[in-house]
Amino acid sequence: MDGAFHFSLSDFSFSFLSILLEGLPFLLLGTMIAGVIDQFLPVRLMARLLPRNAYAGVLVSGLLGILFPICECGVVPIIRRLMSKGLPPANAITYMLAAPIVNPIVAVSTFAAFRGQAPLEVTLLRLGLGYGLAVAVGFVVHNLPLRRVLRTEVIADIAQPQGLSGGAAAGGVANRLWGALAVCVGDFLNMTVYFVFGAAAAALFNTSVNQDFIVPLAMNDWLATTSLMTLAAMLSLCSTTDAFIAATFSMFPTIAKLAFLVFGPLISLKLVFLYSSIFRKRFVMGLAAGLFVAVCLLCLRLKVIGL
Amino acid sequence: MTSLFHRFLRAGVLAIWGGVLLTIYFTGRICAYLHPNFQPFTLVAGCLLVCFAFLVLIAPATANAHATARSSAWSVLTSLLLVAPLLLAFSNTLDSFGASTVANRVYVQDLAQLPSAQMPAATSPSGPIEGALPNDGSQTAQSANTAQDDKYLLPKNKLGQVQAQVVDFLYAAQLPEIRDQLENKPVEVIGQLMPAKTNNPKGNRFVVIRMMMTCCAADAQPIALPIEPQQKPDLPDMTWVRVTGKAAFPIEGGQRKPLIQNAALEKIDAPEDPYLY
Repeated sequence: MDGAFHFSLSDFSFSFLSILLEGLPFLLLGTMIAGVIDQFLPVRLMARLLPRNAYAGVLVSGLLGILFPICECGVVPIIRRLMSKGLPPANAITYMLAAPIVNPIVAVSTFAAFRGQAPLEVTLLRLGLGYGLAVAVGFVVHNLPLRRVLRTEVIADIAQPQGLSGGAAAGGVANRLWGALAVCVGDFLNMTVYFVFGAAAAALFNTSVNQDFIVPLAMNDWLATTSLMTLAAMLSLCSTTDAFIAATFSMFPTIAKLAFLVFGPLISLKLVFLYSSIFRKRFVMGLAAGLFVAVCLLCLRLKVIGL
Repeated sequence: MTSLFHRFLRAGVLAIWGGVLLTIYFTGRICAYLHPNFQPFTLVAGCLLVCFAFLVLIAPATANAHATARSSAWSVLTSLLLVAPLLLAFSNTLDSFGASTVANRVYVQDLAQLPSAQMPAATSPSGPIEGALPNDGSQTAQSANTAQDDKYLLPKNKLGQVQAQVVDFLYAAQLPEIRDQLENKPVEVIGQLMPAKTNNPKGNRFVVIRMMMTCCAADAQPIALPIEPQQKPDLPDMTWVRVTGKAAFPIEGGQRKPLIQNAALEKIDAPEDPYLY
Protein backbone atom coordinates (compact mmCIF):
# COMPACT_ATOMS: atom_id res chain seq x y z
CA MET A 1 0.00 0.00 0.00
CA ASP A 2 3.04 2.23 0.12
CA GLY A 3 3.53 2.31 -3.64
CA ALA A 4 2.24 4.89 -6.08
CA PHE A 5 -0.22 2.46 -7.64
CA HIS A 6 -2.28 -0.31 -6.11
CA PHE A 7 -5.22 -1.82 -7.98
CA SER A 8 -8.16 -3.48 -6.25
CA LEU A 9 -10.88 -4.82 -8.54
CA SER A 10 -13.51 -4.56 -5.84
CA ASP A 11 -12.68 -0.95 -5.02
CA PHE A 12 -12.41 -0.03 -8.69
CA SER A 13 -15.80 -1.61 -9.36
CA PHE A 14 -17.32 0.20 -6.39
CA SER A 15 -16.04 3.59 -7.49
CA PHE A 16 -16.89 2.92 -11.15
CA LEU A 17 -20.49 1.97 -10.31
CA SER A 18 -20.95 4.95 -8.03
CA ILE A 19 -19.90 7.35 -10.78
CA LEU A 20 -22.20 5.62 -13.27
CA LEU A 21 -25.14 5.65 -10.87
CA GLU A 22 -24.67 9.30 -10.13
CA GLY A 23 -24.20 10.53 -13.69
CA LEU A 24 -26.42 8.25 -15.71
CA PRO A 25 -29.77 9.89 -14.83
CA PHE A 26 -28.41 13.22 -16.06
CA LEU A 27 -27.14 11.65 -19.26
CA LEU A 28 -30.54 10.07 -19.82
CA LEU A 29 -32.31 13.36 -19.19
CA GLY A 30 -30.05 15.10 -21.70
CA THR A 31 -30.69 12.53 -24.42
CA MET A 32 -34.45 12.65 -23.81
CA ILE A 33 -34.45 16.41 -24.30
CA ALA A 34 -32.24 16.00 -27.38
CA GLY A 35 -34.78 13.59 -28.85
CA VAL A 36 -37.65 16.01 -28.29
CA ILE A 37 -35.67 18.91 -29.78
CA ASP A 38 -34.72 16.85 -32.79
CA GLN A 39 -38.30 15.99 -33.57
CA PHE A 40 -40.30 18.98 -32.37
CA LEU A 41 -38.08 22.06 -32.81
CA PRO A 42 -38.71 23.90 -36.08
CA VAL A 43 -35.42 25.07 -37.58
CA ARG A 44 -36.80 28.48 -38.47
CA LEU A 45 -37.59 29.12 -34.84
CA MET A 46 -33.88 29.38 -34.07
CA ALA A 47 -33.32 31.67 -37.05
CA ARG A 48 -36.20 33.88 -35.88
CA LEU A 49 -34.69 34.32 -32.47
CA LEU A 50 -31.44 35.70 -33.85
CA PRO A 51 -30.88 39.44 -34.42
CA ARG A 52 -29.97 40.58 -37.91
CA ASN A 53 -26.73 42.21 -36.76
CA ALA A 54 -24.02 39.58 -37.10
CA TYR A 55 -22.26 40.30 -33.81
CA ALA A 56 -25.52 40.55 -31.89
CA GLY A 57 -26.50 37.29 -33.55
CA VAL A 58 -23.36 35.62 -32.27
CA LEU A 59 -24.00 36.95 -28.77
CA VAL A 60 -27.53 35.55 -28.80
CA SER A 61 -26.40 32.24 -30.35
CA GLY A 62 -24.23 31.66 -27.34
CA LEU A 63 -27.32 31.72 -25.15
CA LEU A 64 -29.53 29.46 -27.26
CA GLY A 65 -28.46 26.45 -25.23
CA ILE A 66 -30.59 27.80 -22.40
CA LEU A 67 -33.69 27.31 -24.53
CA PHE A 68 -32.43 24.41 -26.62
CA PRO A 69 -30.04 22.42 -24.43
CA ILE A 70 -28.03 19.73 -26.12
CA CYS A 71 -24.76 18.04 -25.33
CA GLU A 72 -21.61 18.20 -27.43
CA CYS A 73 -22.24 14.86 -29.13
CA GLY A 74 -25.68 15.80 -30.40
CA VAL A 75 -24.96 19.38 -31.37
CA VAL A 76 -22.50 18.65 -34.20
CA PRO A 77 -24.95 16.99 -36.61
CA ILE A 78 -27.57 19.58 -35.69
CA ILE A 79 -25.44 22.60 -36.57
CA ARG A 80 -24.53 21.03 -39.88
CA ARG A 81 -28.25 20.76 -40.66
CA LEU A 82 -28.87 24.28 -39.41
CA MET A 83 -26.07 25.69 -41.59
CA SER A 84 -27.38 23.89 -44.60
CA LYS A 85 -30.70 25.58 -43.94
CA GLY A 86 -29.19 29.06 -43.83
CA LEU A 87 -27.94 29.64 -40.29
CA PRO A 88 -24.65 31.65 -40.52
CA PRO A 89 -21.60 29.52 -39.65
CA ALA A 90 -20.42 31.97 -36.96
CA ASN A 91 -23.76 31.62 -35.18
CA ALA A 92 -23.77 27.86 -35.65
CA ILE A 93 -20.24 27.47 -34.25
CA THR A 94 -21.05 29.70 -31.30
CA TYR A 95 -24.12 27.61 -30.54
CA MET A 96 -22.12 24.41 -31.02
CA LEU A 97 -19.47 25.46 -28.50
CA ALA A 98 -21.74 27.17 -25.98
CA ALA A 99 -24.76 24.87 -25.87
CA PRO A 100 -23.00 21.94 -24.16
CA ILE A 101 -22.00 24.28 -21.32
CA VAL A 102 -24.52 27.12 -21.24
CA ASN A 103 -27.64 25.09 -20.63
CA PRO A 104 -29.82 24.37 -17.61
CA ILE A 105 -29.03 20.66 -17.38
CA VAL A 106 -25.31 21.32 -17.10
CA ALA A 107 -25.96 24.13 -14.64
CA VAL A 108 -28.01 21.82 -12.41
CA SER A 109 -25.59 18.89 -12.66
CA THR A 110 -22.55 21.09 -11.99
CA PHE A 111 -24.21 22.69 -9.00
CA ALA A 112 -25.24 19.27 -7.67
CA ALA A 113 -21.84 17.68 -8.21
CA PHE A 114 -19.94 20.51 -6.53
CA ARG A 115 -22.19 20.53 -3.53
CA GLY A 116 -19.96 21.59 -0.67
CA GLN A 117 -17.24 22.84 -3.04
CA ALA A 118 -18.38 26.38 -3.87
CA PRO A 119 -21.12 25.13 -6.21
CA LEU A 120 -22.54 28.54 -7.16
CA GLU A 121 -19.17 30.03 -8.02
CA VAL A 122 -18.06 27.00 -10.04
CA THR A 123 -21.36 26.79 -11.92
CA LEU A 124 -21.50 30.50 -12.78
CA LEU A 125 -17.86 30.63 -13.81
CA ARG A 126 -18.24 27.51 -15.92
CA LEU A 127 -21.21 28.94 -17.77
CA GLY A 128 -19.63 32.38 -18.02
CA LEU A 129 -16.31 31.18 -19.37
CA GLY A 130 -18.01 28.75 -21.76
CA TYR A 131 -20.21 31.53 -23.11
CA GLY A 132 -17.35 34.04 -23.42
CA LEU A 133 -15.08 31.62 -25.25
CA ALA A 134 -17.82 30.45 -27.61
CA VAL A 135 -18.71 34.05 -28.49
CA ALA A 136 -15.04 34.91 -29.02
CA VAL A 137 -14.67 31.99 -31.42
CA GLY A 138 -17.89 33.08 -33.15
CA PHE A 139 -16.50 36.60 -33.69
CA VAL A 140 -13.27 35.18 -35.09
CA VAL A 141 -15.11 32.82 -37.44
CA HIS A 142 -17.33 35.68 -38.61
CA ASN A 143 -14.21 37.43 -39.87
CA LEU A 144 -12.66 34.37 -41.51
CA PRO A 145 -13.32 33.25 -45.06
CA LEU A 146 -15.52 30.14 -45.04
CA ARG A 147 -12.96 28.15 -47.04
CA ARG A 148 -10.58 28.37 -44.08
CA VAL A 149 -13.21 27.10 -41.69
CA LEU A 150 -15.55 24.64 -43.36
CA ARG A 151 -14.96 21.57 -45.44
CA THR A 152 -15.61 21.93 -49.15
CA GLU A 153 -18.75 19.81 -49.18
CA VAL A 154 -20.25 21.81 -46.31
CA ILE A 155 -19.55 25.06 -48.16
CA ALA A 156 -21.31 23.54 -51.15
CA ASP A 157 -24.35 22.84 -48.97
CA ILE A 158 -24.39 26.42 -47.75
CA ALA A 159 -24.03 27.74 -51.30
CA GLN A 160 -27.20 25.91 -52.20
CA PRO A 161 -29.29 26.47 -49.10
CA GLN A 162 -32.37 24.44 -48.56
CA GLY A 163 -34.08 27.50 -47.13
CA LEU A 164 -35.53 28.02 -43.71
CA SER A 165 -38.83 26.48 -44.49
CA GLY A 166 -37.92 23.18 -42.94
CA GLY A 167 -39.65 22.46 -39.71
CA ALA A 168 -39.28 19.62 -37.34
CA ALA A 169 -39.49 16.05 -38.49
CA ALA A 170 -42.37 15.28 -40.78
CA GLY A 171 -45.36 13.25 -39.68
CA GLY A 172 -47.90 13.28 -36.86
CA VAL A 173 -47.23 13.57 -33.18
CA ALA A 174 -47.08 9.80 -32.75
CA ASN A 175 -44.44 9.44 -35.44
CA ARG A 176 -42.44 12.28 -33.94
CA LEU A 177 -42.61 10.67 -30.52
CA TRP A 178 -41.31 7.42 -31.95
CA GLY A 179 -38.61 9.44 -33.68
CA ALA A 180 -37.75 11.20 -30.44
CA LEU A 181 -37.45 7.82 -28.74
CA ALA A 182 -35.13 6.58 -31.47
CA VAL A 183 -32.91 9.67 -31.19
CA CYS A 184 -32.93 9.47 -27.40
CA VAL A 185 -32.02 5.77 -27.32
CA GLY A 186 -29.41 6.17 -30.06
CA ASP A 187 -27.75 9.13 -28.35
CA PHE A 188 -27.95 7.44 -24.97
CA LEU A 189 -26.27 4.27 -26.16
CA ASN A 190 -23.61 6.18 -28.11
CA MET A 191 -22.73 8.55 -25.31
CA THR A 192 -22.90 5.97 -22.56
CA VAL A 193 -19.97 4.19 -24.21
CA TYR A 194 -17.86 7.32 -23.74
CA PHE A 195 -19.23 7.75 -20.24
CA VAL A 196 -18.32 4.18 -19.30
CA PHE A 197 -14.73 4.80 -20.43
CA GLY A 198 -14.63 8.10 -18.59
CA ALA A 199 -16.03 6.61 -15.41
CA ALA A 200 -13.55 3.73 -15.62
CA ALA A 201 -10.62 6.12 -16.03
CA ALA A 202 -11.84 8.26 -13.15
CA ALA A 203 -12.44 5.20 -10.94
CA LEU A 204 -8.96 3.88 -11.71
CA PHE A 205 -7.48 7.26 -10.83
CA ASN A 206 -9.54 7.55 -7.66
CA THR A 207 -8.88 4.12 -6.23
CA SER A 208 -5.48 3.02 -7.51
CA VAL A 209 -3.27 6.08 -7.55
CA ASN A 210 -1.76 7.05 -4.24
CA GLN A 211 -2.79 10.68 -3.97
CA ASP A 212 0.11 11.43 -1.67
CA PHE A 213 2.31 11.07 -4.76
CA ILE A 214 0.31 13.53 -6.86
CA VAL A 215 0.00 16.17 -4.20
CA PRO A 216 2.97 18.08 -5.69
CA LEU A 217 1.23 18.08 -9.11
CA ALA A 218 -2.04 19.23 -7.62
CA MET A 219 -0.29 21.86 -5.53
CA ASN A 220 1.15 23.64 -8.56
CA ASP A 221 -1.56 25.66 -10.30
CA TRP A 222 0.01 25.49 -13.76
CA LEU A 223 0.65 21.75 -13.62
CA ALA A 224 -2.71 21.03 -12.03
CA THR A 225 -4.64 23.09 -14.57
CA THR A 226 -2.91 21.80 -17.68
CA SER A 227 -2.94 18.20 -16.48
CA LEU A 228 -6.68 18.23 -15.75
CA MET A 229 -7.38 19.92 -19.10
CA THR A 230 -5.42 17.18 -20.84
CA LEU A 231 -7.32 14.59 -18.85
CA ALA A 232 -10.62 16.21 -19.87
CA ALA A 233 -9.61 15.99 -23.52
CA MET A 234 -8.62 12.35 -23.12
CA LEU A 235 -11.71 11.27 -21.18
CA SER A 236 -14.16 12.90 -23.64
CA LEU A 237 -16.90 13.01 -21.03
CA CYS A 238 -20.41 14.27 -21.65
CA SER A 239 -20.89 17.78 -20.31
CA THR A 240 -24.02 16.70 -18.44
CA THR A 241 -21.99 14.34 -16.26
CA ASP A 242 -18.38 15.51 -16.31
CA ALA A 243 -18.89 17.64 -13.21
CA PHE A 244 -19.49 14.52 -11.14
CA ILE A 245 -16.10 13.21 -12.19
CA ALA A 246 -14.32 16.56 -11.81
CA ALA A 247 -15.69 16.95 -8.30
CA THR A 248 -13.91 13.77 -7.23
CA PHE A 249 -10.45 15.25 -7.94
CA SER A 250 -10.42 16.55 -4.42
CA MET A 251 -6.68 17.16 -4.32
CA PHE A 252 -6.74 19.59 -7.23
CA PRO A 253 -7.43 23.30 -6.87
CA THR A 254 -10.81 24.62 -7.95
CA ILE A 255 -9.34 26.53 -10.89
CA ALA A 256 -7.96 23.28 -12.30
CA LYS A 257 -11.34 21.58 -11.93
CA LEU A 258 -12.97 24.60 -13.58
CA ALA A 259 -10.53 24.34 -16.49
CA PHE A 260 -11.48 20.64 -16.77
CA LEU A 261 -15.17 21.57 -16.88
CA VAL A 262 -14.77 24.35 -19.45
CA PHE A 263 -12.25 22.74 -21.79
CA GLY A 264 -13.71 19.21 -21.93
CA PRO A 265 -17.02 20.14 -23.60
CA LEU A 266 -15.21 22.45 -26.05
CA ILE A 267 -12.43 20.13 -27.20
CA SER A 268 -11.86 16.44 -26.61
CA LEU A 269 -10.62 13.45 -28.55
CA LYS A 270 -14.18 12.51 -29.36
CA LEU A 271 -15.03 16.03 -30.51
CA VAL A 272 -11.95 16.42 -32.69
CA PHE A 273 -13.28 13.53 -34.77
CA LEU A 274 -16.80 14.92 -34.78
CA TYR A 275 -15.69 18.47 -35.64
CA SER A 276 -13.57 17.17 -38.50
CA SER A 277 -16.72 15.98 -40.23
CA ILE A 278 -17.69 19.65 -40.75
CA PHE A 279 -14.61 21.80 -40.30
CA ARG A 280 -11.22 21.78 -41.96
CA LYS A 281 -8.61 19.87 -39.96
CA ARG A 282 -6.34 22.91 -39.73
CA PHE A 283 -9.21 24.92 -38.27
CA VAL A 284 -9.98 22.18 -35.75
CA MET A 285 -6.34 22.00 -34.66
CA GLY A 286 -6.13 25.78 -34.37
CA LEU A 287 -9.37 25.82 -32.42
CA ALA A 288 -8.05 23.16 -30.02
CA ALA A 289 -4.74 24.92 -29.45
CA GLY A 290 -6.35 28.35 -29.05
CA LEU A 291 -8.96 27.11 -26.62
CA PHE A 292 -6.37 25.20 -24.59
CA VAL A 293 -4.28 28.34 -24.10
CA ALA A 294 -7.31 30.58 -23.50
CA VAL A 295 -8.97 28.28 -20.95
CA CYS A 296 -5.71 27.71 -19.12
CA LEU A 297 -4.83 31.40 -18.86
CA LEU A 298 -8.36 32.45 -17.91
CA CYS A 299 -8.67 29.84 -15.18
CA LEU A 300 -5.22 30.61 -13.78
CA ARG A 301 -6.18 34.28 -13.78
CA LEU A 302 -9.20 33.44 -11.62
CA LYS A 303 -6.81 32.61 -8.81
CA VAL A 304 -6.82 36.32 -8.03
CA ILE A 305 -10.42 36.10 -6.84
CA GLY A 306 -9.46 33.41 -4.37
CA LEU A 307 -10.93 30.46 -6.28
CA MET B 1 -33.91 -10.19 -39.77
CA THR B 2 -31.09 -7.65 -39.26
CA SER B 3 -33.64 -5.08 -38.12
CA LEU B 4 -35.03 -7.52 -35.57
CA PHE B 5 -31.52 -8.32 -34.34
CA HIS B 6 -30.66 -4.64 -33.83
CA ARG B 7 -33.97 -4.04 -32.11
CA PHE B 8 -33.41 -6.85 -29.62
CA LEU B 9 -29.81 -5.79 -29.10
CA ARG B 10 -30.74 -2.21 -28.19
CA ALA B 11 -33.66 -3.31 -26.05
CA GLY B 12 -31.44 -5.83 -24.30
CA VAL B 13 -28.76 -3.26 -23.46
CA LEU B 14 -31.37 -0.84 -22.11
CA ALA B 15 -33.08 -3.58 -20.11
CA ILE B 16 -29.79 -4.73 -18.56
CA TRP B 17 -28.85 -1.18 -17.55
CA GLY B 18 -32.33 -0.53 -16.20
CA GLY B 19 -32.34 -3.87 -14.40
CA VAL B 20 -28.98 -3.19 -12.73
CA LEU B 21 -30.09 0.27 -11.60
CA LEU B 22 -33.37 -1.05 -10.18
CA THR B 23 -31.67 -4.02 -8.50
CA ILE B 24 -29.15 -1.75 -6.80
CA TYR B 25 -31.96 0.55 -5.71
CA PHE B 26 -34.42 -2.04 -4.42
CA THR B 27 -31.83 -4.19 -2.65
CA GLY B 28 -30.75 -1.14 -0.66
CA ARG B 29 -27.22 -1.27 -2.07
CA ILE B 30 -27.82 2.23 -3.37
CA CYS B 31 -27.10 3.60 0.14
CA ALA B 32 -23.48 2.54 -0.23
CA TYR B 33 -23.11 4.34 -3.54
CA LEU B 34 -24.97 7.64 -3.46
CA HIS B 35 -25.81 10.52 -1.19
CA PRO B 36 -29.49 10.23 -0.19
CA ASN B 37 -30.35 13.26 -2.33
CA PHE B 38 -29.28 11.43 -5.48
CA GLN B 39 -30.82 8.04 -4.78
CA PRO B 40 -34.31 8.73 -6.23
CA PHE B 41 -32.75 9.61 -9.59
CA THR B 42 -31.47 6.05 -9.85
CA LEU B 43 -34.99 4.70 -9.41
CA VAL B 44 -36.40 7.05 -12.06
CA ALA B 45 -33.59 6.31 -14.53
CA GLY B 46 -33.94 2.56 -14.00
CA CYS B 47 -37.69 2.68 -14.62
CA LEU B 48 -37.25 4.83 -17.74
CA LEU B 49 -34.61 2.52 -19.19
CA VAL B 50 -36.80 -0.54 -18.71
CA CYS B 51 -39.73 1.32 -20.31
CA PHE B 52 -37.53 2.39 -23.22
CA ALA B 53 -36.39 -1.20 -23.69
CA PHE B 54 -40.02 -2.24 -24.03
CA LEU B 55 -40.84 0.66 -26.37
CA VAL B 56 -37.87 -0.14 -28.61
CA LEU B 57 -39.26 -3.66 -29.01
CA ILE B 58 -42.72 -2.46 -30.07
CA ALA B 59 -41.62 0.64 -32.02
CA PRO B 60 -42.49 0.85 -35.73
CA ALA B 61 -39.70 -0.17 -38.10
CA THR B 62 -39.04 3.43 -39.16
CA ALA B 63 -38.11 4.38 -35.59
CA ASN B 64 -35.32 1.80 -35.63
CA ALA B 65 -33.97 2.71 -39.06
CA HIS B 66 -31.06 4.65 -37.53
CA ALA B 67 -29.90 1.62 -35.58
CA THR B 68 -29.95 -0.76 -38.53
CA ALA B 69 -27.73 1.64 -40.52
CA ARG B 70 -24.78 0.23 -38.57
CA SER B 71 -23.17 -3.12 -39.11
CA SER B 72 -24.17 -5.97 -36.84
CA ALA B 73 -20.57 -6.50 -35.76
CA TRP B 74 -20.22 -2.86 -34.70
CA SER B 75 -23.50 -2.96 -32.82
CA VAL B 76 -22.51 -6.14 -30.98
CA LEU B 77 -19.14 -4.62 -30.09
CA THR B 78 -20.63 -1.39 -28.69
CA SER B 79 -23.29 -3.38 -26.84
CA LEU B 80 -20.57 -5.47 -25.22
CA LEU B 81 -18.68 -2.32 -24.28
CA LEU B 82 -21.84 -1.06 -22.62
CA VAL B 83 -22.88 -4.20 -20.82
CA ALA B 84 -19.70 -6.10 -19.91
CA PRO B 85 -18.06 -3.44 -17.68
CA LEU B 86 -21.36 -2.81 -15.93
CA LEU B 87 -21.99 -6.47 -15.15
CA LEU B 88 -18.36 -7.11 -14.18
CA ALA B 89 -18.40 -4.20 -11.77
CA PHE B 90 -21.82 -5.15 -10.45
CA SER B 91 -20.68 -8.66 -9.60
CA ASN B 92 -17.17 -7.85 -8.34
CA THR B 93 -17.69 -5.15 -5.76
CA LEU B 94 -18.05 -5.47 -2.01
CA ASP B 95 -20.01 -2.19 -1.91
CA SER B 96 -17.32 -0.53 0.18
CA PHE B 97 -13.74 0.61 -0.14
CA GLY B 98 -10.90 -1.55 1.11
CA ALA B 99 -7.83 -0.42 2.98
CA SER B 100 -5.74 0.18 -0.15
CA THR B 101 -8.10 2.78 -1.59
CA VAL B 102 -8.52 4.56 1.73
CA ALA B 103 -4.76 4.57 2.19
CA ASN B 104 -4.41 5.99 -1.32
CA ARG B 105 -6.51 9.01 -0.38
CA VAL B 106 -5.24 11.90 1.63
CA TYR B 107 -6.62 11.86 5.16
CA VAL B 108 -8.63 14.94 6.07
CA GLN B 109 -7.31 16.01 9.46
CA ASP B 110 -7.97 19.70 9.26
CA LEU B 111 -11.28 21.53 9.10
CA ALA B 112 -10.08 23.59 6.13
CA GLN B 113 -9.83 20.39 4.06
CA LEU B 114 -13.36 19.28 4.86
CA PRO B 115 -15.53 19.57 1.70
CA SER B 116 -18.69 20.79 3.39
CA ALA B 117 -17.13 22.67 6.28
CA GLN B 118 -18.18 26.22 6.91
CA MET B 119 -15.23 27.61 8.80
CA PRO B 120 -16.75 29.52 11.69
CA ALA B 121 -15.21 32.64 13.09
CA ALA B 122 -12.94 31.68 15.94
CA THR B 123 -14.30 34.43 18.11
CA SER B 124 -17.93 33.53 17.52
CA PRO B 125 -18.87 30.85 19.98
CA SER B 126 -22.27 29.80 18.78
CA GLY B 127 -24.21 30.93 15.72
CA PRO B 128 -22.10 29.71 12.80
CA ILE B 129 -21.69 26.24 14.24
CA GLU B 130 -25.31 25.26 13.94
CA GLY B 131 -25.91 23.55 10.64
CA ALA B 132 -22.26 23.62 9.75
CA LEU B 133 -21.57 20.21 11.13
CA PRO B 134 -22.08 17.30 8.79
CA ASN B 135 -24.89 14.83 9.37
CA ASP B 136 -24.13 11.41 10.70
CA GLY B 137 -25.85 8.80 8.63
CA SER B 138 -25.34 6.07 11.19
CA GLN B 139 -27.47 7.73 13.85
CA THR B 140 -25.42 5.93 16.48
CA ALA B 141 -24.38 9.16 18.10
CA GLN B 142 -26.69 12.08 17.69
CA SER B 143 -24.11 14.73 18.18
CA ALA B 144 -26.06 17.85 17.49
CA ASN B 145 -28.48 19.14 20.04
CA THR B 146 -29.34 22.62 18.94
CA ALA B 147 -33.08 22.61 19.31
CA GLN B 148 -33.22 24.38 22.62
CA ASP B 149 -30.48 26.89 22.14
CA ASP B 150 -27.73 27.76 19.75
CA LYS B 151 -25.07 25.93 21.71
CA TYR B 152 -23.67 22.78 20.16
CA LEU B 153 -23.89 20.09 22.85
CA LEU B 154 -22.31 16.68 22.62
CA PRO B 155 -24.20 13.82 24.31
CA LYS B 156 -22.77 11.45 26.91
CA ASN B 157 -23.11 7.68 27.24
CA LYS B 158 -24.06 5.77 30.40
CA LEU B 159 -20.44 5.75 31.57
CA GLY B 160 -20.26 9.53 31.32
CA GLN B 161 -18.03 9.47 28.25
CA VAL B 162 -18.68 12.19 25.70
CA GLN B 163 -20.01 10.62 22.50
CA ALA B 164 -18.52 12.40 19.54
CA GLN B 165 -18.02 11.82 15.86
CA VAL B 166 -14.61 11.88 14.21
CA VAL B 167 -15.55 15.13 12.52
CA ASP B 168 -16.49 16.75 15.83
CA PHE B 169 -12.81 16.63 16.80
CA LEU B 170 -11.86 18.61 13.67
CA TYR B 171 -14.31 21.31 14.67
CA ALA B 172 -13.18 21.13 18.28
CA ALA B 173 -9.60 21.86 17.23
CA GLN B 174 -10.85 25.15 15.84
CA LEU B 175 -13.68 26.05 18.19
CA PRO B 176 -13.03 26.55 21.90
CA GLU B 177 -16.72 26.00 22.68
CA ILE B 178 -16.65 22.43 21.37
CA ARG B 179 -13.11 21.83 22.56
CA ASP B 180 -14.17 22.63 26.12
CA GLN B 181 -16.60 19.72 25.99
CA LEU B 182 -13.91 17.27 24.90
CA GLU B 183 -10.46 18.31 26.08
CA ASN B 184 -9.08 16.14 28.92
CA LYS B 185 -12.43 14.35 29.18
CA PRO B 186 -13.26 10.69 28.59
CA VAL B 187 -14.67 10.30 25.11
CA GLU B 188 -16.16 7.63 22.87
CA VAL B 189 -15.94 7.62 19.10
CA ILE B 190 -16.50 5.00 16.41
CA GLY B 191 -14.71 4.58 13.10
CA GLN B 192 -12.49 2.30 11.05
CA LEU B 193 -8.96 1.58 12.20
CA MET B 194 -6.10 2.53 9.90
CA PRO B 195 -2.37 3.19 10.31
CA ALA B 196 -1.35 6.81 10.80
CA LYS B 197 0.46 8.16 7.76
CA THR B 198 1.81 11.37 9.27
CA ASN B 199 2.66 12.86 12.68
CA ASN B 200 3.70 9.49 14.02
CA PRO B 201 7.33 9.89 15.13
CA LYS B 202 7.17 7.19 17.83
CA GLY B 203 5.18 4.78 15.68
CA ASN B 204 2.53 4.38 18.37
CA ARG B 205 -0.29 6.21 16.63
CA PHE B 206 -3.15 4.97 14.52
CA VAL B 207 -6.18 6.77 13.15
CA VAL B 208 -9.89 6.06 13.20
CA ILE B 209 -11.48 7.22 9.98
CA ARG B 210 -15.01 7.90 8.75
CA MET B 211 -15.72 8.35 5.05
CA MET B 212 -17.46 11.62 4.25
CA MET B 213 -19.55 11.52 1.09
CA THR B 214 -20.39 14.65 -0.87
CA CYS B 215 -22.26 13.14 -3.85
CA CYS B 216 -21.17 9.55 -4.41
CA ALA B 217 -18.76 6.98 -3.02
CA ALA B 218 -16.11 7.98 -5.54
CA ASP B 219 -15.74 11.38 -3.93
CA ALA B 220 -15.82 10.11 -0.33
CA GLN B 221 -12.87 11.31 1.71
CA PRO B 222 -11.49 9.73 4.89
CA ILE B 223 -11.84 12.01 7.89
CA ALA B 224 -9.12 10.85 10.28
CA LEU B 225 -8.71 11.19 14.03
CA PRO B 226 -5.31 10.17 15.47
CA ILE B 227 -5.33 7.84 18.49
CA GLU B 228 -2.65 6.48 20.80
CA PRO B 229 -3.81 2.98 21.86
CA GLN B 230 -2.94 1.45 25.21
CA GLN B 231 -1.40 -1.45 23.29
CA LYS B 232 -0.80 -2.07 19.62
CA PRO B 233 -4.13 -3.30 18.22
CA ASP B 234 -4.17 -6.75 16.66
CA LEU B 235 -6.92 -5.89 14.19
CA PRO B 236 -6.90 -5.72 10.40
CA ASP B 237 -7.02 -2.33 8.69
CA MET B 238 -10.54 -0.91 8.19
CA THR B 239 -11.96 -2.85 11.15
CA TRP B 240 -14.87 -0.99 12.73
CA VAL B 241 -13.96 -0.09 16.30
CA ARG B 242 -15.32 1.80 19.27
CA VAL B 243 -12.54 3.90 20.73
CA THR B 244 -12.63 5.19 24.30
CA GLY B 245 -9.96 7.34 25.84
CA LYS B 246 -8.99 10.84 26.84
CA ALA B 247 -9.30 13.65 24.30
CA ALA B 248 -6.34 15.97 23.91
CA PHE B 249 -5.57 18.84 21.57
CA PRO B 250 -1.78 19.25 21.51
CA ILE B 251 -0.07 21.86 19.35
CA GLU B 252 1.89 19.99 16.66
CA GLY B 253 3.63 21.68 13.78
CA GLY B 254 2.23 25.02 14.88
CA GLN B 255 -1.36 23.77 14.71
CA ARG B 256 -3.75 22.45 17.30
CA LYS B 257 -4.44 18.81 16.44
CA PRO B 258 -6.99 16.43 17.99
CA LEU B 259 -5.76 13.19 19.57
CA ILE B 260 -7.25 10.44 21.73
CA GLN B 261 -4.73 9.27 24.31
CA ASN B 262 -4.65 6.01 26.23
CA ALA B 263 -7.24 4.64 23.83
CA ALA B 264 -9.03 1.34 24.35
CA LEU B 265 -10.35 -0.33 21.21
CA GLU B 266 -13.36 -2.59 20.91
CA LYS B 267 -14.32 -4.27 17.67
CA ILE B 268 -17.91 -3.50 16.62
CA ASP B 269 -20.24 -4.17 13.70
CA ALA B 270 -20.35 -1.64 10.90
CA PRO B 271 -23.10 0.94 11.41
CA GLU B 272 -26.14 0.80 9.17
CA ASP B 273 -24.94 3.84 7.24
CA PRO B 274 -21.16 4.03 7.33
CA TYR B 275 -20.91 7.50 5.81
CA LEU B 276 -20.88 11.00 7.18
CA TYR B 277 -22.56 13.57 4.91
